[in-house]
Amino acid sequence: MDAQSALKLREDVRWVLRDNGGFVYFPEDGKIEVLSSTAARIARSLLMGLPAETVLEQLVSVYAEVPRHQLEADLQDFLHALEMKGLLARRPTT
Amino acid sequence: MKITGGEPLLEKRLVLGLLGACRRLGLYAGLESNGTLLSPKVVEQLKRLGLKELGISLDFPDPALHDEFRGQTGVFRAAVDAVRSASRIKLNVSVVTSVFATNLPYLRRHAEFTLTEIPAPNMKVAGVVGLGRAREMNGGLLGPREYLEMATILRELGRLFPDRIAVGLPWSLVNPMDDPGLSFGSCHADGTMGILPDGGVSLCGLGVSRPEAVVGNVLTRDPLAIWRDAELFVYLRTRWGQEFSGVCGACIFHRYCANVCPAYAFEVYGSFSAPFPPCQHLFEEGLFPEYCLLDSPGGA
Ligand code: SF4
Repeated sequence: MDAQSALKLREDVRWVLRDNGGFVYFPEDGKIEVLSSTAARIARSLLMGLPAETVLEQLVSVYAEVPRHQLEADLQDFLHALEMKGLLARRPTT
Repeated sequence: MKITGGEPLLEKRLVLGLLGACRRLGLYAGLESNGTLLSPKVVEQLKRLGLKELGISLDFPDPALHDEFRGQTGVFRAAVDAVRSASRIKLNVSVVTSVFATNLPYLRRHAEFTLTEIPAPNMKVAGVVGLGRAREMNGGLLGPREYLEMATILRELGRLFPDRIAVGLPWSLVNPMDDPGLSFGSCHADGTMGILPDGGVSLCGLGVSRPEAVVGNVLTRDPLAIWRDAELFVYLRTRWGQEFSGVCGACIFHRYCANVCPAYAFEVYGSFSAPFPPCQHLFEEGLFPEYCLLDSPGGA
């Protein structure tokens, strides 16, 4: 896990996060992007300002049956997808 | 092409002619009926002529209540029999239910009856909109709190009967993200042309109650020319959906649920881009879901 960057979710979109999923509303074109329950869980943690390491630990405790390396890869994929959509910025902390 | 009424089968020859034309032109044909003229033989005839979708109106789970509401004895029986005849020959059939104040208390029981006892494969449910005859109907339009109650019941029913109930409701109350068990209809106002009994052209049946929304007549002008040139249709194709007023203008769902029924907006506020009246009423009573609002709505 990249310990050298803080993650910041875009705040001028509308995050609607529920226990079983959620969605993001983009004000520039009125489109909505649906989030799975895991994605919503991660987004909620990131909005609270938690670092990626903590988010990973949360996932590990929720999905105890899934190998840690798999969860780490899934988390990285999701963060990358958020970056691609312009929803996440990584800011160096050191 | 959707053939609806009143009761369209009172003009059976016309209906059969229209179905024949749809088949020749390769158009998808649907029909909505109260079931009274749908004997098994007629249902088979409609299927043979290429009918793709049949909607049967049923408002109550009880014969006496439905017949009384429809003002005719035997309508309930006829509707149930028509659904069964259509199901038997595998014609795509749905029970169509309009919810108003008097049948709202029966909605759960009605869905159970429809989907498990008739049983219809699917049902379509929407709050009745205050257009034309519906305004004077003795069922009574839903108030804001009743609208919320209907949505709550439908959410439960969506979980009980996944993929069997289609709704025509604002996304602020039920939506595909929160209610994946329901299907969501849309009126496609930017691709709809309504032809009235006298040949008049309007958006759906709106022209019956609002003559100012009639923009031509297919008996005197080429329907395609009306579709291409009438200001109403040009507006709906190019600008409607981009400039909603009232609560719809400030709602995160405007792109998707698009004021639900622009005809109802026109009927109440005189503009196709005005808000869906039930959502506007919810907002005015402080009952509109806060999370859907982007900023303070302007006036309706
Ligand atoms: S306010 Fe308008 S856009 Fe929003 S849910 Fe209601 S009808 Fe749909």
